[in-house]
Amino acid sequence: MKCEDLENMLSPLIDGELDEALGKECLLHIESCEKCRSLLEEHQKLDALIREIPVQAPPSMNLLNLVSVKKKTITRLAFTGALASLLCILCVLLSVRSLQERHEKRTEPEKSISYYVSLDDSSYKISVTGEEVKLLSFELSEHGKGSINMSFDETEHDKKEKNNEKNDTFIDSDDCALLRHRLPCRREKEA
Amino acid sequence: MSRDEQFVTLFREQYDRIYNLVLRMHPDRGRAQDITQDIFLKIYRSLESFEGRANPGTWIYSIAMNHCIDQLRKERSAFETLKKILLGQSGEPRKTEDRIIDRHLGTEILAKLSPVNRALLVLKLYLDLDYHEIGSIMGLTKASVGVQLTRARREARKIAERLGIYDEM
Repeated sequence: MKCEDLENMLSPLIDGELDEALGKECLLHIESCEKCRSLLEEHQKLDALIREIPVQAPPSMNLLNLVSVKKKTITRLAFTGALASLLCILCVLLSVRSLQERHEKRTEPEKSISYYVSLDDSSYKISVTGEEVKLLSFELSEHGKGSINMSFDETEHDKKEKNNEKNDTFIDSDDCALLRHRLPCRREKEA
Repeated sequence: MSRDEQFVTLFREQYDRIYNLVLRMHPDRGRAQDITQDIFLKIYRSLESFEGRANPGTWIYSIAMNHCIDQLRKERSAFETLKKILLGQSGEPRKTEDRIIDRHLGTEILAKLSPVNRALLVLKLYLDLDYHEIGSIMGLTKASVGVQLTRARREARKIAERLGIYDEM
C-alpha cells in the first residue's frame, strides 16, 4: 500500500468503515510509515476538537412559541402582499401622471427660431420650430446677373396657417443640417 | 397517534439535539434558534408525508441539514457579494492573535468549512452516524460518503494549519 492510497482511505479507516482485510493492510502501512502515522494522529486530534464542542442548553421554546412564529409568518406574508399591491397602485398612478405630463408638453406650442443662411451667393431666411423647418424668404443671386428677392408676407403666412392651408415652403431637416454644416448660421431672434 | 401528538413527541425528543446540530452549522446562537424553529415548522408541515416510512431520526436530520445548508449558501452568497463590493478581494485568513478567543476551536474550524463538508463532519462527529445513515441524509452512496469525508477532513486540516491550531496542541 502507498501513502497516497492510505490518505484516500483515511476517513473510512478512522471511522471504522473499512472491511477487515483492508483495515489490517492500512494499519500495517501506518506502523511502518511515520508520515502517515503523524497524519492519522493529526486527523484524530482534529476530530476530537470537533467532538469536544460543548453541548449547549437550547433556549426555552414551547410549542406555543412555534404557533406564534407560524402566525407571525402569516401576518408577515399578508403585510408583504398588501405592500406589493400598494406599490403596484403607486406605479400605475405615476405612469398615468407621466403620460399626462408628456401629453401636456406635446400640446404646448414650440418656440420658433429664425436663421439667416448664406449659400453660394444666395441667402435664405428660415425658421426652425421643433423638427420643422420653414423657408420664410430667400434672395437668389446668379453670378453677375443681379439678384432675385423673394419674401413671404408674414401676415399672409399667418393667415394661411389659420386657414390650415399647407402652401408653405418647406426644407426638410437634412437640407437644414447640410446648410448648417457648410456655412455658419446667424441666429436672429427667438420668437 | 394524531399528527399533533406525533409532533409533540418528536419535538421533545429531538429539540435539544437539533438545536446543537444547527449551532454547529451556524455558530450564532440567535440565528441557530431561528433556524431551529424553521426546521420544526418544516417538520410539522411535512409530517403527513413522512408516514413512518423511514427512520424518524434520519428523516428529521435530513430536513435539518438541508435547511442549514440552504441557509448557509444564501448567507455566504450575500456575504461574498458584500465583501467583494467593500474589499474588492476574497479576504485574507485571520492571524492567530485576531481570533475570537471565547469561541471553541472546533467551532471555528467548522465555521470555515464549506457547507457540505461542515454538514458531513457534524453528522459524523456530533451525531456519530454511520456512513449508510449519512448517505441517506445527504443523498450519497456509502462509498461517496467515505470520499467526501476524507475531503472534508483534509479541508479541516488545512484550516487548522492556517489558524495555527496544531502549534497550540
